[in-house]
Amino acid sequence: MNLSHQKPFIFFTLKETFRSASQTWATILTLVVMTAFPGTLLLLTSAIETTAERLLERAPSIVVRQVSTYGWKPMPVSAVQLLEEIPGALSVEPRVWGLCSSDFGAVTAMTNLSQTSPDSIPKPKAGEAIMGPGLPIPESQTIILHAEKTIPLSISRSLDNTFSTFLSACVLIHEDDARELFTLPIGTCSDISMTFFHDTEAVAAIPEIIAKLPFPVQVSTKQDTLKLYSGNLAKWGGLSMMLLIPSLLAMFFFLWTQRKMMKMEKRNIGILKMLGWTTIEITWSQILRSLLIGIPSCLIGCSLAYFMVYGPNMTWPARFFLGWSDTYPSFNLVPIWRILFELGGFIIVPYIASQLFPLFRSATTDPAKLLEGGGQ
Amino acid sequence: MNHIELKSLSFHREEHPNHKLLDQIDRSFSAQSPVLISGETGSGKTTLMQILAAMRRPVSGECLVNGEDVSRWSSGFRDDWRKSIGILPQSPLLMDHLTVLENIMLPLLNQKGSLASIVDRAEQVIGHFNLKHRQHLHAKKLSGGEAQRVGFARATIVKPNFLFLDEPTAHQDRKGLDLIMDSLQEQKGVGCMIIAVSHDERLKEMPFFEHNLELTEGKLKER
Repeated sequence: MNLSHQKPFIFFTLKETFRSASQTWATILTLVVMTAFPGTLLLLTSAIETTAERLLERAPSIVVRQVSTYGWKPMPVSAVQLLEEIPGALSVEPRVWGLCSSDFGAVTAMTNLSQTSPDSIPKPKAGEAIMGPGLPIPESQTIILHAEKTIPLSISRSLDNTFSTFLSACVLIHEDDARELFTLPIGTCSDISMTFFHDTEAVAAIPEIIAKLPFPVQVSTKQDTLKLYSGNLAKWGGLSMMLLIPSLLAMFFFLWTQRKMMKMEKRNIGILKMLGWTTIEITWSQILRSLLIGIPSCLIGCSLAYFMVYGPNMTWPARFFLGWSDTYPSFNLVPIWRILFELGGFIIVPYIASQLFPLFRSATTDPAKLLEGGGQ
Repeated sequence: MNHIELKSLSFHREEHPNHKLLDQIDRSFSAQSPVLISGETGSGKTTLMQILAAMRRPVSGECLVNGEDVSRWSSGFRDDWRKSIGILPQSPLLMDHLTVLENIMLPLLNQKGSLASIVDRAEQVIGHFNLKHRQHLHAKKLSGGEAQRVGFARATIVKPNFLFLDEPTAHQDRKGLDLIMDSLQEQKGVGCMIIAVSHDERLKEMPFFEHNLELTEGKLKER
């Protein structure tokens, strides 16, 4: 195809695209909003999925918690010795941690008891707190944590983003402070984490773990946590489908306006056919027009969605779409191509179809009938 | 040599099957002899013009153009064939959102050639029809006579083999009429076949049209 021969055709198409500037800009704006809105949710869902996978990579294979008739119960650290006898267990560690409230909403207060945790994760002194990368530092340089008891702690430092999502909304505190905060006596822990070489070994070990311990326990595997995430993601996925309903309604709006413009379009198609334009030529021109409007609109909408999920201090999409009120980790970047294809399928394709609709109906009609306002 | 032959050509509207606008017309036209068809309002002149220009299909009969029955061709072939003809409808049918220049360029924009050459050609035609001062004006702002001249310019820009004109001089003063007749003379000189339908008495008196026909009760008769 010689481009210089296509120039007149492209010239006409551009002229037609901006035939009515206000209508063109209104269409672009509508498409941008229709792309950005569900795009934000789709991107948010993907970002959470990816972030969750990253978080779970570092999670233990199994977490064992003592339960009673009224819920969780602190468990004796002596249970570690019993669990170390389980074949395949690479490490068995007691953990002291819990959820508490603070001026920044709910945070996870945890101690760094692990013998296997990287040296780079610092250990706070008693009376001090180390803030996760997702938490702000107040001017007072203190944080007050509320759980079973209330304790004020001075902030000694804040972790940077190299610690990433794992510690994002956590406050690292000394073991003594944690025991006071959650009223955990010495010799007890919140739970015990176990790491196995392979996740399937962890699942196989569950009956033995239950049998070994002389009190009732709940054993959660990494797979259980993944299922929990999957359930939530499915719910968010359903929500994103609901958000596509406005997009479909907008498509109907397009079809409706197209129907209203049918008479004028028929006249113009009739004139072009009278002047020797074939249906194929008119169709190409129309497709090119739709793409000229549709593709930039979709790209702008996707960029907006990307900004709303990953933009600095952009927390409202998660609050608005997912109802999150607490501090949450910064999301891992996900490729936008999948979102582009999904949105393209739902928005751009129906848009182009709605633009071609009057043309298909007029394709085999004689120009004289089109000019009379008749035709199929 | 371009020629058209009508064989038992008939047409009636779907809603009025008993009212035959064209009734078994048999007639031949050749490029050397421009034809003027007159007739009362509603006699079927425009319909005949539309059938000749492959814009409408007859109910029965044949419309042979250089031996080919164009009326039986598929839509795509008929659309393509119209690239080589010039049509001036009764109402000039301009695209209101385009300028005079762009409207005149329209039949060439889907054909091979550079944009610059198309603009040059359109400007030549515009000059011929005394529309130079109007070329960047939107079509909706033109007077009836100007719009008709733009329509005529658009019909001739393709250097057509056949020129079908429906009331080409209805809104023209003497000067406009002369411009159009000059152009028709030029088209005839290059072998273009010209068929016009008109009420205009001035055209009937012109020797340019060698055949002066009247369409009455669905039949074409020599005047």
